[in-house]
Amino acid sequence: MSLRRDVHSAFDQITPSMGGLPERVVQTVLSEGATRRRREKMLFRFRAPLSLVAVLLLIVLVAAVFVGGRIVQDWNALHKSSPAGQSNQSQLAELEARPLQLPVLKAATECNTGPWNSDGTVGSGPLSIYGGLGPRTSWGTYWNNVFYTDQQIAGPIVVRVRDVVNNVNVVFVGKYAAGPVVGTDTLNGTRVQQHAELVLYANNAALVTVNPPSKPHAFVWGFTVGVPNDSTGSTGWQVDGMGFSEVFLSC
Amino acid sequence: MQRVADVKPSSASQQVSESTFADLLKPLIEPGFRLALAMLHDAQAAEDAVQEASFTAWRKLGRMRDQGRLRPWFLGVVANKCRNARRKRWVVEVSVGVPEELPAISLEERTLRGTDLRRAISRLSHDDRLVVVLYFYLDMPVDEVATVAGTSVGATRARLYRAIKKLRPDVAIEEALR
Repeated sequence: MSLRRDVHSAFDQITPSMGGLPERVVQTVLSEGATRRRREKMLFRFRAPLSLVAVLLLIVLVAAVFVGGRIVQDWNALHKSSPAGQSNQSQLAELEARPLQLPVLKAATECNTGPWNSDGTVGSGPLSIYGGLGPRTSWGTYWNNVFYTDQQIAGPIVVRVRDVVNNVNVVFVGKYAAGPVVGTDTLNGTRVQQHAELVLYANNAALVTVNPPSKPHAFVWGFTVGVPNDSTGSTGWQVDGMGFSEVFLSC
Repeated sequence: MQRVADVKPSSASQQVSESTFADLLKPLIEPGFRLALAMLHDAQAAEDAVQEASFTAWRKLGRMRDQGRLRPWFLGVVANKCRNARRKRWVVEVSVGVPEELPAISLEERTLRGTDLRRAISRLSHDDRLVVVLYFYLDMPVDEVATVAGTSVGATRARLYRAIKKLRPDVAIEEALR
C-alpha cells in the first residue's frame, strides 16, 4: 500500500460528511461579514487611542511600582528603626540579659576617664563617645553626647550606665532612649521620660563623612544622658552589641 | 472522490460581489476543510478554521491581484488558522503500535493503521505536516504546495523527503512519492 493511499485512507476514516458545509460557511460569511468588518474598522479606528492608553497605563504602572517600592522601602526602614521592632526583639532581649561588667570604685577620686582613643574620644570597642554639657535641672545634669563608629554593625546596640561609686542610675532622654521608664523631668519646658538604657541601630544612625580618609564614613548617634544630683559623677558605661561588649569610664 | 488539485477557481474582477464571492469560495471549502481536518484531527475545530479563513477571504478577496492563485492562497490562510488553533489546544492521540506489515488488511486493522498514521503525522512539525497533507492527501503538485507553505519548490521537496523519512523510515523516497 502506498503512502499516498495510506494517508487518504487514514484521513478519510475521520472525515465526516461535508454535505452543505460550503453553503453554510459562505452563508455565515455573507451574513456576519459586514458586522465583523464594521467591528474591525471600529477597532482599527480606536487602535491609536487605545495604544496611547496602553502606553499611559504602562507608564502609570512603572511609576506605581517605583513609588510603591520607595514607600515599602521607607516603611521597612521606619519599621526596622524602631527599637521595639519585632525582628530585633530576640537580639535585644539577649543583649539586655547580659550582666553588667562595670567596675566598682570606693571613691570618685579613683575614677579615671578612659580608655582614650587617639582622636580624643573615649571607648574600648567599635563605639566611641564624645560630648558636652547640656541643660541642668533640679533633678540633675544632662549631657548632649555622640556615639560614633566607623564600622557597619548589625543588630541592636544596648548602652547602660551606672555610677560606679554609689550605683545610682544614670538615665537617657529623648532620641534612642529605651527600656524601663525610671523617672520624669522637665527639659526646656518639656516633660520628658527618663529611661534606663539607650538602644541604637546602624540603620537609624546618621551617616557622616569624617577624616581621615582612611575611615571615610561614620555612623553617628546623638543622644542625651542625664546624671542625677546624687551621683558622684563617676560613670561606668557598658555598650553591648552582637559580637562585642565594651566598657569605659567617664568621670 | 474528486481530486482537489483539479478544482480551479473561476476568474473574477477586483471588486467581488456576494454572488461572485460565493462562486469563488464554495469550491475551496471542501479542500480547506480536509486540510484543516488533517492538520487538527478535529472536525469542529477544522470547520471553525475554515470559517475564519473564509472571513479573511471575504475581507481580502477584492484586493487580490491574481485571483487565479486563489486556491493556494486560501489554503495558506487555512493553514495559518490551523497553526493558531493548534496553539490553543493540545491534541492527544493514543498509539496502538500496529506493525507495518499485516498479512491481511481487515477493516479493524485498517482503522488501527489509519490511527497510527494520523498520530505519526500529528507528531510532525506544523510545516512538515502541512506539506505531507497538501501533497499526499490533497494531491497537490509540489509547486503549489510550495506556494501554500510559502517556501521554494526545492525547500518544499526537501521538507517532504524529511517528513517521509520520519513517517516511513524503511520505504524508499521514490516509492513513497508514488
